[in-house]
Amino acid sequence: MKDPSLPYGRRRHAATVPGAPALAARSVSARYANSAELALRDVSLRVPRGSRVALVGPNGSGKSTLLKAVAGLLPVKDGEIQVYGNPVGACHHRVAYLPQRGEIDWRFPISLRRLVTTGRYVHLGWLKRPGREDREIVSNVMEDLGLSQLAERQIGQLSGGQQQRALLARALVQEGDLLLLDEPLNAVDAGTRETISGVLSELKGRGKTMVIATHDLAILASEFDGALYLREGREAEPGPGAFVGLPVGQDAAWAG
Amino acid sequence: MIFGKAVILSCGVLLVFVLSACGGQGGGPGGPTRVVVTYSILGDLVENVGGGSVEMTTLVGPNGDAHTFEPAPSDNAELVEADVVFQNGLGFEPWLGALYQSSDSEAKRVVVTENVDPLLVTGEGRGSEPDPHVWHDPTKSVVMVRSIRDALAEADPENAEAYRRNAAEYTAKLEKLDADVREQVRSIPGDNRTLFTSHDTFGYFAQRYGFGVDTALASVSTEASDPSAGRTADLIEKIEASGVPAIFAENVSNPSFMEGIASEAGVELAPALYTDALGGPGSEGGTYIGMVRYNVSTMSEALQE
Amino acid sequence: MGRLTEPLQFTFMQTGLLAAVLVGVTCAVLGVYVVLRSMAFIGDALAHTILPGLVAAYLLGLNLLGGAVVAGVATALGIGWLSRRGTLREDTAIGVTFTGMFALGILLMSTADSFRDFSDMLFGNVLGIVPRDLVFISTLALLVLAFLFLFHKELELTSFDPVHAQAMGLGADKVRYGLLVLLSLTVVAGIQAVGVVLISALLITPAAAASLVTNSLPRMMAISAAVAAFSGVAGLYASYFFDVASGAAIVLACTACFGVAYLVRVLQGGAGKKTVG
Repeated sequence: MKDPSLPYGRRRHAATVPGAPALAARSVSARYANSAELALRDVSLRVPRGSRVALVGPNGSGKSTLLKAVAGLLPVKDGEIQVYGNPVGACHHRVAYLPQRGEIDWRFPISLRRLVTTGRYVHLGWLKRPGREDREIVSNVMEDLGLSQLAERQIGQLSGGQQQRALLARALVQEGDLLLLDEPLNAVDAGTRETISGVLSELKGRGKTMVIATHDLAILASEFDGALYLREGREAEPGPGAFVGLPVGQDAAWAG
Repeated sequence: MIFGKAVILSCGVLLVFVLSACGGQGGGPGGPTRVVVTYSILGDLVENVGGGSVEMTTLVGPNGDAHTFEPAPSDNAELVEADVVFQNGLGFEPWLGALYQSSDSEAKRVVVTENVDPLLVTGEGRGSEPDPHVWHDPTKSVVMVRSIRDALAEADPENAEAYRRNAAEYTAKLEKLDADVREQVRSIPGDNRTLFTSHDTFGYFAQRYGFGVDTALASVSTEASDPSAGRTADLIEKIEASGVPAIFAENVSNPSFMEGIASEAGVELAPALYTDALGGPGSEGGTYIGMVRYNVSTMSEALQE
Repeated sequence: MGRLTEPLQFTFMQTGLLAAVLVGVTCAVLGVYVVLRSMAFIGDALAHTILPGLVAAYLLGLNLLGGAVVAGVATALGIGWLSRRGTLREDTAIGVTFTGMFALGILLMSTADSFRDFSDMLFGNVLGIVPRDLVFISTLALLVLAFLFLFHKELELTSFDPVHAQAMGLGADKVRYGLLVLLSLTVVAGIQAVGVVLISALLITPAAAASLVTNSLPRMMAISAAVAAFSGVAGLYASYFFDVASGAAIVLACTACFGVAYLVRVLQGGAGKKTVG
């Protein structure tokens, strides 16, 4: 994949630093623009390459906030975040973010196919149009997620589960190495859940790194390598008997 | 005893001073007569009659439009201080009545056209109304000068002699102006004596000097700023058919529209004439006589074949 | 057939038709984004903001059109800045800016010695287009269409998912500033050419009509442009043959097209089209 000649971000696409973990967040604090309160306090997270780490906690605990900070959507008030050894924003193309459904204008006149294609833009930059390679990647990913039949539908005409799969497809066509997924299995039908789980397993098999916010505690042990528990914006202790796995929190972050 | 008398005398003198200072609004005896004039053309006439004995304020200044004027608070104050207010009347200053009342002025209101025989204009669906633009006919201005002279003489009898003298001198100039205009107009071929104009201001001029006036341009000029294509086409054909070499458009918001009409009708768009106001001081139309001469020269030049 | 070509014998009709179509198409295509991004009253707002620019230019003895352009662009950037991510909603920013600017214009007007109705100074009419105006209009049309073509995917994306754009490093604000500046240039030029009545309408109605009959953005632009072009011609012809105001006739032609589109939508069944195009 070539770097775009006119990339969107100000910084050129930096190479990964050898030996650096996929994600290293140290004592990160952050807050939303319209609020005085900190949504995230002094949270640390270390995600080794190729691993699958869960962010666990109730609503409002800071899971989405942390993912947004890593994705470069929220400025960090305190602490630092490094992605593959580089600061946030230096390699946008390696980080794919799947938000919760909310913020898109689903009434906009755009087809599913084109929505998914926007995931390729980070590799195109200004002025370049999607080419044959991009179109192939989009078609393949849509096929994997069972969306091919719906390709020409306007996005508002899709069901909730279909929309969720569409957003996942968009994140996947980016071919990023680090995936940040915010509750991907939340509020979708069983069929969609199965499809998505299958795709995620396949990705793990290919060595992609994933940080997934979830509150489905049952699958933690079987699906994840490690988990970070959050409560009210801070790192919390896992409850008695809860899955622990690989150390990913404060201890791990400051050690490496 | 003597002390008491001195006090009474001093009080008496003081009282006289106080009373004379409170002596009504406007200039007391000995000071210039304060006069407010509604628009600049009338202002020039009043100045020529009043001379140095009159202190004049004009509400609608040079290049201003009295039809759409909106008075400011300072204008209220001017009215209160005035001895005499001169207005054109005939509906030219629709805003003056309210302003005068609200200012509670005690000035004498003089309508200078009261002795002028008005022309009636029939508007579309409005019935007939008097045409206020009397000043374009210098002989009508002579009548106005007489009203001005009489009003000033009444308000300021001390200087009545000076006013009568000034009025007579100025009237002589106006009569010469009238003669000169008649002479100049003779050089315009009879067929060309039609004024296609966007502003219905030249009625009295046309009547005095034998012109026709066609205000068809007004219906497409941007008073109503969205003209109709059909009417524009008709107008172009009409101008072409009339054979006049020029049209006159002034006070228009869209001069390039007028240019377009003129060029398509194959006529010249004459330079703007002075209509309801004088030009700035020092300009050709800075005085009333200057304004009339400029207008007539421009018309005659444009309407030569 | 002779009747149909009768208006064309007049130069003002020829230039008027050309201007109406050019300005119409420019506004209609730009208008698709105005409608989709809920900026419907920005046309009217920008039109009001050029007043202080005009007055200031007049008082300083500078070029009037230049003053209007500066004021328009400054307002556009001001609106963009006030409504940058997370600060104010765009419609609030528009309302605050345009009322303030317009009042500034009135204030400046009151300081001028002779009261003149400045707002008439620059407001043109489609029948008053002279050939040199056409050059200006054509250039603007090309500029707008080039911008929309070159930055199509960025404009599209930031219109419905600015968050994703930001995650890619694409500043949605940058794109928005560009759109606002282009809008202000279009409004200023358009007002000078065809008057304020027409400009606001052309930015909204053709695009609104198009949005009712298609789910594809490129097709929406094409239909919007077609509606504007058709309305320009139909409106002018109506103005010629029925002796009615030209600007108003064009606007009403757009409105009629909207009505037709609405009917089409109703007849297609309430759900409308499921697929894109």
